[in-house]
This record gives sequence, structure tokens and C-alpha cells, in this order.
Amino acid sequence: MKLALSISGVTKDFRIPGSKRWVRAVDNLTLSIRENEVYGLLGPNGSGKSTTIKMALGLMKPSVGECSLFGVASDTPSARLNVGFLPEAPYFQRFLTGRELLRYFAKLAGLSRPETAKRIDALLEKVGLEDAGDRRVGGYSKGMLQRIGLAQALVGDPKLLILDEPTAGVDPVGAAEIASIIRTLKSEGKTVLLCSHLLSQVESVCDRVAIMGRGKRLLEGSIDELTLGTDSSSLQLDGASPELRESVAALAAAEGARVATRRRSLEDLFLELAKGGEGGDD
Amino acid sequence: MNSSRKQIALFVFAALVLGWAVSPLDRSIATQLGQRSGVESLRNLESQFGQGLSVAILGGYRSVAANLVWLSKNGDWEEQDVAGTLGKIALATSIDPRPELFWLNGARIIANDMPTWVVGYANTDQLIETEEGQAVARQYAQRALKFLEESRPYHGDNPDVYLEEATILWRKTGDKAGAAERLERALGTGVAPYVIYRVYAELLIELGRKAEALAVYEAHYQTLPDNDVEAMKFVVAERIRRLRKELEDSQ
Amino acid sequence: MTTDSERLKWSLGRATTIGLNTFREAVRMKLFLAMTALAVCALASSFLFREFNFGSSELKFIADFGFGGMTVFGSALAVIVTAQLFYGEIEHRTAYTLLAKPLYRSEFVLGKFFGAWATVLCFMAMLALCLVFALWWRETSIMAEFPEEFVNGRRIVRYGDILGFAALQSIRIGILCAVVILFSTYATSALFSMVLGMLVWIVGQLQHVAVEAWATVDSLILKGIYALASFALPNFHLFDVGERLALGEALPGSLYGKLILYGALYGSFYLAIACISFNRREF
Repeated sequence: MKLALSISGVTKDFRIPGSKRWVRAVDNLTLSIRENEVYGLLGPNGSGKSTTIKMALGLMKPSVGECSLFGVASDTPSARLNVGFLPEAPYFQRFLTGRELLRYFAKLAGLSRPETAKRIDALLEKVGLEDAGDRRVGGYSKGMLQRIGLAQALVGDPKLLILDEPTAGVDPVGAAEIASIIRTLKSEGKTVLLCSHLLSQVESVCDRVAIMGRGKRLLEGSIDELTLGTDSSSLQLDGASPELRESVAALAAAEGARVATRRRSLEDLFLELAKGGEGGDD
Repeated sequence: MNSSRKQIALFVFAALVLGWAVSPLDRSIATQLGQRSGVESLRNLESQFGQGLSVAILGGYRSVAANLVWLSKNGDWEEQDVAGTLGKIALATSIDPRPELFWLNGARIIANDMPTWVVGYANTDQLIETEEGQAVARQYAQRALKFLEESRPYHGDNPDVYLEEATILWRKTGDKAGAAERLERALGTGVAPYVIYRVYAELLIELGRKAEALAVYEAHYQTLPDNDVEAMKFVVAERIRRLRKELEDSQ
Repeated sequence: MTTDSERLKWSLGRATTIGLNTFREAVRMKLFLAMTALAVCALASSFLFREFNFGSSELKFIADFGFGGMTVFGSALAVIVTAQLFYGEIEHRTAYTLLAKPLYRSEFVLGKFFGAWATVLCFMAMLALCLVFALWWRETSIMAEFPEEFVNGRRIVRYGDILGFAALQSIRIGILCAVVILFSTYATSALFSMVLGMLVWIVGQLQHVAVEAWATVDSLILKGIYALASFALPNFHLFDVGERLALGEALPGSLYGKLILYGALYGSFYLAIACISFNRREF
């Protein structure tokens, strides 16, 4: 299968301003995102997620290694032809209205005038800003900024969407809406790279996730693989009566096993890894 | 980081090459504009370089800046500060050499006021009576003449400047021949007022060159209108008559 | 839309889009309101200052004032506005979203340059029109008062030259905008590029002094500094043609050509370097 995003052996070092010391933000990272998958990049703040995204988009150059988008090296503008990006806590030209902002980006994406008008209306409706389209972006709330950010990322109808913390500052209802938009995008054949530290949302939409810590990829796999993990002897019992549960528990106890009331969540795994990562090598 | 330093060095080098390549064009524009050389225009400022700097940046606000300097000169003038007044006069004229007032008034201050400051108001008669006093007067007269000489590029065709020079030469240095020469140049501009013709002719008479004076008067008379009071046609006619008589008598 | 391996072509259209948006930002930032007020005040003050004007005629004085306003305010605005409009995008992180789009960074640099330049040009045009209006008005009333001063009732102010002066100053301002853009691609704050831009303006204005000092000083270090100043920076003094115009002399057409060439050479040089430098910048 063709790769939407490929990061291979990428390392990024930064010099600490005013000193001769260097700090490693990303350490020999390799990631492959296939077309039409929703991929979650997880990790605590400072784990190197944003740096990774910036390198993937050509906003930064890796110290070592290569990034490419649909087979085109990230440091060429052509690589971004099929990519839409929603930055973390997006900032937009405050003096533009939502509609003008989208028109601006549509023009940069090379959309024709009639195409633009139709597309903007559709996008504003998609992100739920049809009533706020003619208001200045400067007056938008945090949640509205995320929505207009999502709309501008989609304006060129890209095949890959890179979303950096798309639900930051959005209320739970809004976050659920964004998750639903992501699912729709997948059904439309798009690829989504989702960066977040809010795991519950990632868990509900992602096909595969990678967990990063200290610039390294600590783990990668499908949600099922990761949550079942190596301890695959746990199982989930749905729709069981209390009697059945009791007898299963008794049977298990006789065999030396135990029955947990809930499945091991991604969050548990994440916290485990984050802890391990902190104590690990540098 | 190292590579970025190398890059900056490369850029500076490229900028130098460009500057070198463009310098013929630069010079050609400067010549076409007749821009005064920077060193020359700043030499006048000497100790006032600080002010000169800000003035150069002011760019277009020349007349405003020059007028401000000229006004501030009045303070130095009241204090009878020779160096300060000279500096401000030089600065004003180097910022904006166009107003003739800066030149004429400046020369008068240098030639008339400054010698009295040097000897003191109470001793003004020394400037005429004693050797030292006369030396001081001559020294400032020369200074004023040199100053007016600098106005040539801007006021070479201004008879008033020549008249001013002639006045200084005549009254302060006693150089009547020099004064006559300046008046001749004033007449050469073709726009000299009537009075300069008469002064010139009278000066020639004082120099004993009566025949020349008569010629000047006669030529001048032909050009005079009948109805202009300033032309003083009848006075000129009277002078011609008397000069002819004097010349006839002396023969 | 585009297909996979399509190569993105450099597009003047995208640069123009960015330029227009930059211009719109300047308009909406109420920058224009402030600039118009400044322009009107600058000219109105020339009428107040008339009282203390020695020797030079009133019309010359007003022209001088207007020329001064164009040069001084124009240059100051060029530095401030360009730094604000270019570095502002980086500072407010809006460049972030923009540069993640399929566009060349050089398109961004050029777009920003043209947007900033257009903003200052509007100010210059406003000032030039105000000046023409002020001179016309004063000349008309002087003509009514002293008709004998005007041969055959012909006006003495050459209005075309005033517009010519404004056009030449626009070239100077273009160079200055390009310089500030170059500094902004390196800078870590808008203030930094403003300060450096001001410095180039001042040194460029005095550059002709450095050229001659270079030839006359003996110290090698001083020679080096003067050489740097005189060769590495443009000579803005060349654009000080106001004196000639105010003296009533016409500017030859070839001079316009030469100054345009001069500006184009320096402007494109600085912009080219700005593009290279901005290409390397990380976000």
C-alpha cells in the first residue's frame, strides 16, 4: 500500500539559545502512515510530536533522516499539494472574517472562483460555523478557532490531513463533533494524522497509534494490539448475567487467573509508557 | 549555526560586489544631479558634526532645519559669541544655501558686528583709529569675503551678493579697485538695480578713472525709462553733464 | 485538484494573493487612518511654519515641506510597516498555517514585499496629492494678489515634477522595504528588523560621505568600515532630488531611468537574499 507520510530515521537537534549545548527533540524516529488510515500520534507535552509534524510539513529540516509526503520529499513545496494542516492553538489573520480567511486560503490552493464559493459554504456548514462566517476571526472563541482551522485545512480538498491537538480548548460536544468529522473524512477516503495528548478521543477514531516519549517512538500498533498488548490473556465479557460472571470468575480463580471489571485502556498504557520513558535513556 | 554565519559573510561579500558594480551608475547619477561632495558639505560643519548628522537624515526638511539653525544663531549673536555665531551661520548655509538672506546677513554680521565684539563696544573707535583695531576689522572683512565667495555656486548671478562684497571691500579694507571689480561683475549679471550703476560710476571717479565713469553713465542713460523715480534719470543726466565739463576742463 | 506527483509551479498569482492580503491587513489595521492624519498634519504645519521662513519664497517652502514629509515619513513608515507586516506573521504564528500550504517561500517573501510597499506607496500618493492641492491653492491666491509675478499668467510650479519626485521617492522606499524584509527573515523580533532598517536608512543617507572618507583616511580599519558602508549599502542621497526641483530645475528623463535601474538592482538583490535566507528559516 502506498504511504501518505513516511518518516525514516529522523533525528532533530536544537541548540539551546545562548549556549553550546544541544537538545535532542526527536531521536531516530521512523513512522509510516498508510493511505486512508486514521493515525494517532500520542505523547505528553515535549515528547517531540509537534517537531515531528513540522518536519513532515517541511517547516523544519531534520538534522538526520528523511520525511516524505506521498513519496515527495517534505522540503519541496510540491510535497504539500495534498496536505491540509491544522496547527496547535491556531492563529489566523484576525482582521479577516471566517469566510475571507477561507477564500484567501482557497485562492492560494488555486481554486477557481465559483468552486471557492461553493466549497466555502460547504465547509462552514461542515464545521458548524455557517452563522459566524461573516464575523472577524479576531472575535472567535477558542472552539470556533479550532473549527475554522479545520475548515482551512480542508479547503484545498487534501488527501492527507494533519491535525495538531484539534480538540484543545473545545467543549466535549464540540470534541465529539470533530471526532465525527474525522470519521466522515476517513469514509471519504482521506488519511488523517491526529496528534493529541487526549487519549479517549484518539482511541475512538484511530486505526493505528504510536506513542512517543522523549523524541522516540515507544510503541506503535492498532488500538486492539496495543490495549490487548502482551498480556493477551485478558478477555471481555459482554452481555453476561451476574450468575455467568460469578461462575466465570470462580473458574478463573481455580485456574489461578483473575477477572478484571474493565479492559486495560490506552490511557493506562500511555501512563505506563510515559513513566517508563521518563526514567529511560536520553 | 556555523553555516548561517558563513552565509551572512557570503551575503555581505555579494553586497560589496554589487555596490562595486553599481558605483559607476551611482557616480553618474550624482554628477547629473550636481550633488555637492559629501565631505565638502560637511567640512563647513566641523565641530557641529552632531547636528550635521541629524540634518542629513532630515533629508527634505532642509529649509525648516536651516531656518531653525538661523533662529538659534540669534542667541549666540546676543551673547556676542564669535565661534558660536560663525558655526551657526556656516551650518545654516550648508543645510540650505538657497536663501540669500543667510549669506548677506551672515556677511554683515561677520564684517560689521564681530570686530566690535572683539574690541568691545566701548572701544569701537579703535577699529578706525589704532593699528590693532584696523587689523581686526580687516581680518573679519576678509573672513566675510571668503564666506560670500562660498555662495557663488548658488548665487553667482545675484548682484546683491557682489554689491555686498564691494561694500565690504570699500568700507572695511579700503580696496576701492577690488570693490569696483565686484560692482562690474554685479552689472555683468544683467539684472542689477539702477543704483549699482551709479555707485560703480562714482567709485570709478574716486579712483580717478573719470573717462570710464563717463562711459558707464552714458551707456546707462540710454537704457533708463522716463517715468521711473528709482531710475533718477535727471540725476544721471546732471552727472554726465558735469563729468563732460570736468574732462573738458582738465584737457 | 492536483494529482499525486504533480510539481508545484512558482506562481505570481499566489504572491499577488499574499500581497493583496497584506495590503488588506494594513488597511484594516487602521494604519491608513493614522497615515492620512500624519500626512495632513505634516502639510498643514507647513502653513504654520510659513511665518518663520527667511528668504525662500512661500511656494518653495511649502514644496520643501511636502518633499521632506514624503522622504522622512515615507522612509520611517517603510521601516515600521514592513517589519510589522512581515515579522508580524511570524510573531503571531499566522505564517505557520500559511507556509504549510503548497506555496514557495519566495512567493511569501515577494507577496509581503509588494503588500508592504503598496501600503507605503498609498501614503506617498496621498501626500503628493495633498502637496499638489496645497501648492495649487496657494499659487492661485498669490496669482490673484500679485499677477505681475506670473509671466503671461502662467503658473510657476511644475506639478508634474512633484509627482515625479514622489515616484522617485517610491523607489527609495522600495529599496528600504526590501532591506527590512531581508532583516525580518533573520530576525527574532520585529523591533530588531526595525532598528536595523532605521540604521540602513541613516547610513544609506550618509553613504556618500563614507565614499569620500574612504578615499581620504589612512587607517586601514576605518578604511574597511567606510568601504563596507559605501559599497554594501545603497546610496539614498541619490534620491534627494528635491533641492533641484525646488530650485526650479527640471529633471532630465535619463535621470529617472538611471534611478529606476539603481533601485531595481538593489531591490531585487535584497529580495533575492531574503528569499534564500527565508528558505532556510525553521518554524
